[in-house]
Amino acid sequence: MSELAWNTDVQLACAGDRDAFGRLIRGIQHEMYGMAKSLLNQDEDCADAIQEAILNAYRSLPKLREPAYFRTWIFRILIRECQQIYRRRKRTVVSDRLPESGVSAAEPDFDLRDAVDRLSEPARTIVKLHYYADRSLAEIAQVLGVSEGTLKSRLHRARAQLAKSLKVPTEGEIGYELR
Amino acid sequence: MSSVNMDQMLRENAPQRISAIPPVVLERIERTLSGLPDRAVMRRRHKIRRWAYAVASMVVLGSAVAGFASFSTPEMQSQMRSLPVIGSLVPLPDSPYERSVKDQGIEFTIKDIIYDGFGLSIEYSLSSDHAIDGRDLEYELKVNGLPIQMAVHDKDGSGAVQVGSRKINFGHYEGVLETTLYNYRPASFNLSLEVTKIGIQTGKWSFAIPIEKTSKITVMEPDVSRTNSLFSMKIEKVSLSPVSTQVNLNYAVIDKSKSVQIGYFLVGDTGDVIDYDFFGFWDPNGVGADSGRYTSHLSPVPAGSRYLTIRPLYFVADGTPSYSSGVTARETMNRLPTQDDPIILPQGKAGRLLVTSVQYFPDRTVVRFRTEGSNPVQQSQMFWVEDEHGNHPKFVHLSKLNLNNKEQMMEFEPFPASGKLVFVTRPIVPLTFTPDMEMRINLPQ
Repeated sequence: MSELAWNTDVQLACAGDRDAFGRLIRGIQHEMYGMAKSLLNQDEDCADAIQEAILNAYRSLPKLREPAYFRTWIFRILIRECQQIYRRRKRTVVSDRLPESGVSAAEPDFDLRDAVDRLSEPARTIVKLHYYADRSLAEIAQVLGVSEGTLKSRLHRARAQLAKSLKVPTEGEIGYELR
Repeated sequence: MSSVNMDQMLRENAPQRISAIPPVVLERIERTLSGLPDRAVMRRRHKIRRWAYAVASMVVLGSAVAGFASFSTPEMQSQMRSLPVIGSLVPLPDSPYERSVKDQGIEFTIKDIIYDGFGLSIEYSLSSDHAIDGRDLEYELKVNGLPIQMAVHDKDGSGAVQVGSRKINFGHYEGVLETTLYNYRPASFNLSLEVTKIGIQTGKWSFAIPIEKTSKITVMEPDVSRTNSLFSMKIEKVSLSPVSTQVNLNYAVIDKSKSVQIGYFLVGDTGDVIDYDFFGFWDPNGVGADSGRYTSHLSPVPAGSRYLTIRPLYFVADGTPSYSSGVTARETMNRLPTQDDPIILPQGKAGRLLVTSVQYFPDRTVVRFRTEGSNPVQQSQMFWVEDEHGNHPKFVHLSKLNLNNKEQMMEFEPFPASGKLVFVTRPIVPLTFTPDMEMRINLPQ
């Protein structure tokens, strides 16, 4: 879809054109799924999150003041939905993996993905979007509504926390980003 | 472990890239899109809900205020009316002009008329038990038998009639007809209003009403003056009414070596320009008058204003290409402009114009723009659009006068998204403000 066609569809969608809204969603559905999948594990959860994001976006379209930000705006809605579903799943998870008695909570955990899942928000979302969904820092900063500098420092802290939870000594160096 | 190592580990730990959307997700997306409700239905439901909440709140508040007001003295009622929101709940005294005519199931009610010897305002409402479009009226307005046209009046002269209306609900509109009488301004007259069409409904709603000049006029004689090396200005009288403002002043050109036009902005206590006027023109070749008396008729001052500022200004005719010289700046739209990345058109020494968005709707195309510079009124008036062949699309709606460099909107007939829009403007003469000449006029409260 050309930029002009995209922008025209955004404006039509804001004016209430359902078909234009559908075209926009189909144009980014692959990215939406990629983003949802990086934040949630199950496809069924991804479908729930995307469905809620589509409905919320459609209801809130008249409030979108700057059509140029449609893409960022809908990804922001999607991330919020994913976070809610993640929290719900976390509360209701049924696990047969009971902690073994005598094992200290401070024992190193070598499962990096588990360690990422244990990060608090927004660190968990930032790490997943950057490393799992392969999103650039600039894009994540825009979607989360923070400066790139803030994002870099949060990512740096998240990595330090991961290293700590994996019980690997850190060197306390100043973090930098590869891109 | 360094940050770089952790960075590497996280990248290696990332799940495989998505190659295709699984059917379960794809099917859900399609199902969601096909089941989206109609926006108009959603809006209607939302409005009904909001309306219901508002009515419930107003009933409670209204009963309390009206109950209290009914036991209050007239002075207290008057004071309560001046309070925001609450004031609107205190019953107003009946207007002597209130009357209704019903035809074709539509009731046209004149709620009030104000005439201050210059401005004329007719407040009306429409109600019907079926859906109507009250924004579009066809009517004839006459003052002592002389018709006031939509454009400039007949030989006796008047301003255009402006109609502002708003929809209350499907069968209910409220609006106001406003005009100004320039040359023929009797102290009292017979007003005739004959409405022949409301939306698509033809009919006859006729009124003949004797009108008296309102007594709601506040007159002040501030007697303030300022002089600088170029000109002097004295404000003799300011008259405020609910429908217009009149300023009587006198002026004198001091530096007679330049060709200048003198004027002023009338500024409210919020800092927004209420209106403007130009009056003195002097040319060293002897054209114009180097002194004189002048009366400005301007827009009304917002109720509750504490003071006004007269902000004198001038411009020098120094050979700068004017808007009438035919010099233009053109910019073809090759990309959609945005607030952050507007399309910018130079406007000579006055400043520049920024096109910030173009929106394509099924029934119209909307261009939003703003001006930066000293002469916002002319800067926005001297801006238009063309297609690539120089044709002008038909306007649907134009913004009001741009007095405060705020965002403006121009609406015209649907323009194809594939076509080339061309934005055109002209060099505009800059206005020079003279802060040392500003005059403040305190208003009685």
